[in-house]
Amino acid sequence: MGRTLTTFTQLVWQEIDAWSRYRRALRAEDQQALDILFAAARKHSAAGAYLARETPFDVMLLSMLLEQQKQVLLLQQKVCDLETRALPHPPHGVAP
Amino acid sequence: MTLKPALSHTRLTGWLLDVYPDRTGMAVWFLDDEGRRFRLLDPYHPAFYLTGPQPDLLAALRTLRNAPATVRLVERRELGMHDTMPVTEVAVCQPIVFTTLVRSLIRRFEHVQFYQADVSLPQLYFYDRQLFPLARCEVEVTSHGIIQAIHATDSPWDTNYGMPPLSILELSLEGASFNPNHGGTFHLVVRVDRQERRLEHTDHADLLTSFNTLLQRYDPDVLITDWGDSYLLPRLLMLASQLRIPLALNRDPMRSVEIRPPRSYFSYGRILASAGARTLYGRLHIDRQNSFVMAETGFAGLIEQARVTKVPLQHMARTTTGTGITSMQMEHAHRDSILIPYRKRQTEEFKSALELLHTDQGGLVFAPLSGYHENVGELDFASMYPSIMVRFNVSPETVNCSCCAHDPLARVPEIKHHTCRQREGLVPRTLRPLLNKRAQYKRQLAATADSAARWVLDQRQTALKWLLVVSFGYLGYKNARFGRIEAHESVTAYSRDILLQAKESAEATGFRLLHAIVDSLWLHKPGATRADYEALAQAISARTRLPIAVEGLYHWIGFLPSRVNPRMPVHNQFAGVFETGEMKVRGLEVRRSDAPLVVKRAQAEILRCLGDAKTLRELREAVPRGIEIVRAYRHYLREGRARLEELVISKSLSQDPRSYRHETRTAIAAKELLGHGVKLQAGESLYYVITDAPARLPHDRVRAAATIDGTWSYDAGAYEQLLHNAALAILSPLGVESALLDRLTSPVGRVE
Amino acid sequence: MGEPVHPLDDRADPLLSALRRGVLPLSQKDGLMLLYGHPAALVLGLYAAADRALAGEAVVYLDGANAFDPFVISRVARTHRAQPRTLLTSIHVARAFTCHQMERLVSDCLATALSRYQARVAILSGPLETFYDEAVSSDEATRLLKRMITSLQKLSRQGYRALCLCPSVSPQHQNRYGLLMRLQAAATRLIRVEDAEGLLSLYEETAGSSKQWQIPRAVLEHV
Repeated sequence: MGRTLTTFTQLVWQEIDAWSRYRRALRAEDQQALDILFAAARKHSAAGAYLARETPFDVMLLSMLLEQQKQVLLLQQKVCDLETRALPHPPHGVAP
Repeated sequence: MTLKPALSHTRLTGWLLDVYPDRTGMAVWFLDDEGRRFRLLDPYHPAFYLTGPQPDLLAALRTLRNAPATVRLVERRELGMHDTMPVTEVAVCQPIVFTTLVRSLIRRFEHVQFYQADVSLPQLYFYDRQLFPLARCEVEVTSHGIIQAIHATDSPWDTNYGMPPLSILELSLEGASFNPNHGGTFHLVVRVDRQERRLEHTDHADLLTSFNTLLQRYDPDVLITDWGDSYLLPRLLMLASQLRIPLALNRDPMRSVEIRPPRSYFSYGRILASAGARTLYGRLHIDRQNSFVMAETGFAGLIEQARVTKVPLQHMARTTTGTGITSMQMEHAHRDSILIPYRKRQTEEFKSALELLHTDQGGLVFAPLSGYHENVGELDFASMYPSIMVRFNVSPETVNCSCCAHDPLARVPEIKHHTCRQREGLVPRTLRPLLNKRAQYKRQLAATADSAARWVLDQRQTALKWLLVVSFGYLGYKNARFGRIEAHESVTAYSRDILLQAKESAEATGFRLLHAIVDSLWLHKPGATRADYEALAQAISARTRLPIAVEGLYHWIGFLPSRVNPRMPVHNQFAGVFETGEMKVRGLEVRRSDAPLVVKRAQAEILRCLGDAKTLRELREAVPRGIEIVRAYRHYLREGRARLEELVISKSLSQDPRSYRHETRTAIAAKELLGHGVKLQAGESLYYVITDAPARLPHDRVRAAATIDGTWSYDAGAYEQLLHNAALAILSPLGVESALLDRLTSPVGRVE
Repeated sequence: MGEPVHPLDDRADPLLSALRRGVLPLSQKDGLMLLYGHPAALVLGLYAAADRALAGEAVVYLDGANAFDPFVISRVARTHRAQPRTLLTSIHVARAFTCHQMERLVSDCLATALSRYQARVAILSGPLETFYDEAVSSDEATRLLKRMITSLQKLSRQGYRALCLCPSVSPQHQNRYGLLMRLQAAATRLIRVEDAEGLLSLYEETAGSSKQWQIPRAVLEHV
């Protein structure tokens, strides 16, 4: 009988469409950042669909934050690794 | 054609070939063990049922006084009702007038409810006599060919059944690579008794006479054609009537060929065309080009579906798989004295908009982690949706039953439905034997080495797979007799919960979820072996109590990004190589019907070249060889060497060809064909070649393939672009950017 | 946005305000009201449902066009500083995918639903869409529609109000145009919805009235 409701993936596309004027007036590098944010929302469409929240944009924002948090953790790890390498006396006494 | 009076014995053993309504019963075509074909008559009286307000009912029965029918009061149940109710049974003594009689009653008495009023009579006959198409039978007949008793000696659930020694005549057109209705000239080719004959077209009367001679000499049980429904038979019959030479297509001389006109219809949001039908009596006509089952599962699959569904072969070949599932459900209902409603009137229960938000969902799809991965395992739930229906008893009458509303074990996860824990529903009862039979075939397949036997087993299990696949859609299909939205919603709710359980089990044992689609999961764990994946599958099966198996381990698999927006992950577009060397590809040109052969071939070559790689490192090393393939094909295209068949693009007409408002390529090709007097319908496939994509005049841009002869040329640039896109889809995640690919493959010494 | 907006204050919502000027609240004498024409009529039905829910009423919503959209209701709720969930729980939906189902929903289920949810308003979104199915004969479709209209008229006599939203009959279904005419003839209030130069116009066509209102299209594009 076909689905009645817009799927979460379609909702993401609708949201992208709704922000198209905003995107147009951004600088090219900022447009790229915005695209990455919406791709983050799309990446978690399974979770978004399963939650089935009545206000889907909230869910998309959280998905964007989630991907950002992953980036933060990744960068923290990298900084940590670099700092460890830069230490004059590594904890195990082995030169890198 | 009836039994010869000289025939001494009255008991025959053999096979049931064909059944259809006749004046005083059902005509039954029988092939006996001595190779003889008989037309017998079974004095069978099909029945329908009615109920309704007393005055209307009485008025309806009054009109039946002079009809060839007997009337009595019987007790039957409606689906989901515990108690029986009295209904009037009308048994029609002349099956041939059944449909006309019922239709006229339905038109006149709108307050009367009808049951079993539009079930096809051969099917009803099969249900009542416990027979099925091509059943092995014993039959007792009088010397006049009247059946006294008939029963099947094998079962549709047998997996090792014998096949009747059918004589087959094949009829096709030489030179028709596209739809012959779109134009061209062809020769008639007849294949029979392992010989091939080409009937020359010099004189139409001679053609018909020699064809008639062949029909009479070989008297085939089955006529298998290419384009028989839309082109061959209509034209042969037209010639026959113009030249007044009777054509012996039918075995039953009292009948003329049955004609059903073509039509377009919507299915799953797409418009499809049915080419119409030319069906025979006493002989079976099957058009390979107008049969989904034949295309998907071959003749062995068609026979398997006809046997288990009890839909006659000629109908099964042309109808939707859903008709088969419906027939199985109707048979179960009929056997259990459940009334088969004439029109489904089951409506959706009211739910709040918030509940709708939760229930109106499909299966879960996890966007893939784009790019190539190595050492990946795929786990698939076997027939997930039908298994859920059987395991959790999901059926129109079991969902939200009154007896189990407060049983916590009856609750469907996440949504406010429950299923019955007291009585097994009609849908699970129908599906259980199908699931078992398919599992049996798969076990036999695993234990069989002989390739011919494997081929048949695989066609049969695929035929059952299609019935199972469609069974879920039919729970929610608007015209399904035993469908109901709440049942459909319950199945998807269970599937979401089960996929999440599988994900949890995998993650708990250190696997990473790369991708998942409804009933399949792609997982990665460094160093995991087949045994680890098998152990995981067992753990998931134990937890969910649904069968899940390791589909395979991949050396590598690439989840390819969206072509429009490379950052966006898309599902159903991937290519991977199993440890066995076998490839699994979805969504790429090689699998698409609208990609030209030359592009498909190039992409397949690139994939084969990459397929030699066993690790991601080897995969990257293979990239230059892949690029070389693209370069060679570009060269080939640019030199103008590509042939017509390699360039043809096939597209489905999404609407009536006259209502296209934009000059799309499909619209231009359609207009060209219409100009040649070709009749086209929405849903039909069109075949065209790009001749000059940027041309100002639309009709210069593309040409319909069927109209091409003499001098013509194709637009090499346009095909190079298609080739480029097909290659880029695979290569871009390996670091080959569009501009780089273009530069590296640019034909040397370009011809402008 | 500034200060909070009262749920029934429509300054923030030009679409709802236009609807309220012309169509809402549905008064008793409106009985069977029909908005027909531009496909945006279906969205107006969602707004009408949200409007009644904002006022604290329960609404029964029959969807024959497979077009119910809870996210529109959510957006209206947010604009009016109401909880989307509250509105969504007071709108009760059932969908029809065939004309037999539609007729049965109206004739056999609607009265019960209205009384169970203590609703006074039924919204029928695209009630004729399922009647255009070529698989159902024209005679049968007409017969079912007559029954459905009789049931609607009975409900209207009992004091319930029904709002029907019918997009124009598409060219390929012109042979079923008579169905819409039948429903128009039965309506106690008739409003045509048209799109003209960026404006969505509502024209009252009820006998003895010739009111009209405009809604900027841009407002609808945000929904």
